[in-house]
Amino acid sequence: MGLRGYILKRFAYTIFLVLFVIIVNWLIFQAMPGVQGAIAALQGNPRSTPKQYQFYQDIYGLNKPPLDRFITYFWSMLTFSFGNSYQTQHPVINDVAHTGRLFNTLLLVGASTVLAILLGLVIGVIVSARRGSSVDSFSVTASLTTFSLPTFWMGIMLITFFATVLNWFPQGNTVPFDWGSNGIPPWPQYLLTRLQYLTLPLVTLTLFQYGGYLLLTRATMLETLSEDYITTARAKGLKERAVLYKHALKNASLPIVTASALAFGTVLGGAIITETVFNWDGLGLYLFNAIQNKDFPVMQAMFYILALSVIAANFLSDLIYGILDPRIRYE
Amino acid sequence: MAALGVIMLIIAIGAALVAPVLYPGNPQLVKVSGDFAQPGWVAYFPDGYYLSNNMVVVSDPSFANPSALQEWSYNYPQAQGAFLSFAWSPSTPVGPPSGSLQITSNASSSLGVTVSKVFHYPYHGPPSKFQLRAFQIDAQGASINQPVQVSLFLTRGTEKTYTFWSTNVTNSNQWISPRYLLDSDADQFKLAGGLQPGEPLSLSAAIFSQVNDYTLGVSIHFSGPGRVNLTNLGLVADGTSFGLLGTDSQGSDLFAEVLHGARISLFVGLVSAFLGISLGLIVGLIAGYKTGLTDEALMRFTDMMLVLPALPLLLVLITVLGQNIFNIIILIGFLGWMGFARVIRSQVLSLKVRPFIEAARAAGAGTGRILKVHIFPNVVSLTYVNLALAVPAAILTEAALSFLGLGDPTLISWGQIISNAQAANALKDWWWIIPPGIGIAFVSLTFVLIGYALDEMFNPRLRRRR
Repeated sequence: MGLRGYILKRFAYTIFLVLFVIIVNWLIFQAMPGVQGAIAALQGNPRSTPKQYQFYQDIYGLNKPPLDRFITYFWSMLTFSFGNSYQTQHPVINDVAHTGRLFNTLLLVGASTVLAILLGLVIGVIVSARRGSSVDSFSVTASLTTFSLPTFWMGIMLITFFATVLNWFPQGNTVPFDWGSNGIPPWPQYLLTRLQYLTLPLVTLTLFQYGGYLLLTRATMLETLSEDYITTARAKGLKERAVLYKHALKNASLPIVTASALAFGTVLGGAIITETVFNWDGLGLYLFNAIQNKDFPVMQAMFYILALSVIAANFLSDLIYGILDPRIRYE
Repeated sequence: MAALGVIMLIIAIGAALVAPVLYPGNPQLVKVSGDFAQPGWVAYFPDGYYLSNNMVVVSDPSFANPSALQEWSYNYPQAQGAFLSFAWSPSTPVGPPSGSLQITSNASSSLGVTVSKVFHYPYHGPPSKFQLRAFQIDAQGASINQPVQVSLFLTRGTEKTYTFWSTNVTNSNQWISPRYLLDSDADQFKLAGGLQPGEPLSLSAAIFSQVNDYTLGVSIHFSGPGRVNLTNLGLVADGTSFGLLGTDSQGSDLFAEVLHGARISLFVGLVSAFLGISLGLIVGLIAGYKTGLTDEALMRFTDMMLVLPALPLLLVLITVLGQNIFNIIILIGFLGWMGFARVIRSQVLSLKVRPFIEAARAAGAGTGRILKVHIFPNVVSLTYVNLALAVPAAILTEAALSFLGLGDPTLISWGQIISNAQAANALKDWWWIIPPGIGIAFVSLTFVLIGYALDEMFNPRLRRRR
């Protein structure tokens, strides 16, 4: 089985996962006392007329058999037509894609993941070469501590210190309020302001992630450094730097690819919290607001979209892994 | 690291055990001081010079015992002292439930008496607020023609007198009280104290503006012979500092809340981690030992569960199923077994081809026995490590849920305390925000340290090459 066979196999599996998510999403919202509950209440309300009852039955398609309903639902998931949000009355997909929310979340999650991986890799490699030194134990303790800190609390602390006390950064939001009325400034100022608004949420979400990468890099590096080929490389008289970066890091960085894909779901969770703390207008805040207001169409759509993105991340990491590691193709 | 972790664990468990003993009941329902009071020890720092403590000016404001009379001083014109008598009167079926002070005047002409108490206000800043007891007076022999004038006042030093209530009692044999709340935050009381309702300055700041002697009292003016009974005369000031950790927006003791939070965090963390790890252990053992369809089905299911984003799923599910602690524990547990199941499975895969398992099988041991007696003891160290690491994950998840407003609203958890602070727009109140966050971090770090120490102990790959 070559690379193509491997990719095909992973792709088929990905399709299977998508079907699974669609079914889970349906099951959750079937259990939800939402629409059905509202209609039951309508039924129990002496002032509601049968006509009203019929109207809502028709709107939500509840008079159809369950299989028909599932097919309608299934089709709507495939075509991304999630219906309208209860709150905004806009189609959910417009709220997600055409309002900048998707971009804002991608920006936050993407930038913080890249930063966290870089930080984790660099520090991980440095400390693995000096196992047991004070630098090593300090950075391990530091990453264990950031592991233990609640994300929302870190965010609040950053806001208190850097925004309220020092006033270096805004306390929250994605862009200044007056951009709506005064228009968007020219690009150098635009970029600078956006960066200013991005900094604190970015730092929060990076701190949320980097510890895991650091510990993983350190562990795989330590394992790799004990391999025979590293001893060989050292015996050849290669410089320690070359041994570390050329021989060890290349192999030790492979698990990072898998780990970053596996952690993607967790990062999305962190993004929900971070966006809520910083009032960052992304998908996480959108989901949070939907939950606060029991906006079921949005909740259903958001859960589906977030799960899809995790599946996509996993598929992508499988691809990268297949390309980077030739062994995997011949499993 | 392990020793530190164990010490921290003992502290955390101690806090959880001590909380209900020290503070029985829900501390969020008890008001102990002024709202947003800072921790008491801040007063020892230069910036805290203006802080005040709770103050109770009158020890027996309801005249429950005859000795209450000695607390007050009585002023009247010297010459007319012979016409006056002061006595304690016990509670009456028609009157206030407690006793009262009885003043009788036999003078045929008019006569004024002041009952007052001088107290020292030692703080440089005003109290958060103050409240007067709902003063009650009953005048015997008062009529339209011979009213009894009453006024309730507070004097700062000798310079300024605030009269909170003054009235002419014209009907006899009836207990009379001010119609409005005698609370420095109440608008009508503010008005009576000489401030406009919309004025930003609070009444307590206007009155208690300096360290001074203050006089709380009531003055009574008889127009002719008569007798008054009065009770419920007292003043309570809520401090702007309290206890170890101050108070929240409801004036509840934050130290008590944080102690109570330890119980919820530990309980949720331990129980849901145990649930998740047990599930993972069972799935991992079965998937690892069985081959073919069972293994394949279990591992595919595990992978599928791994793909579901945990926090969004939790948020949605808790919205659906209801916000109570058992839903939270069970859901966190059910979403936390997958990684461990994989670890166990790979361990079992490598164990089951070892000779000792084959020997056991050859000796006729069944699947259950082999799993229980031969395989489980070999993965038990992994179980400890992962259990210790699953606890902080569960604690942090519960905290995040509570912070997002999806925790159990009837229980005090650390996440909920911070969420309350945010809801009260009090993120700047560090004494409210920092301690619960440190609590979460402390307990999580406890288990992380223990987990990593166990890992270093048991994991052969992490042993140093000699």
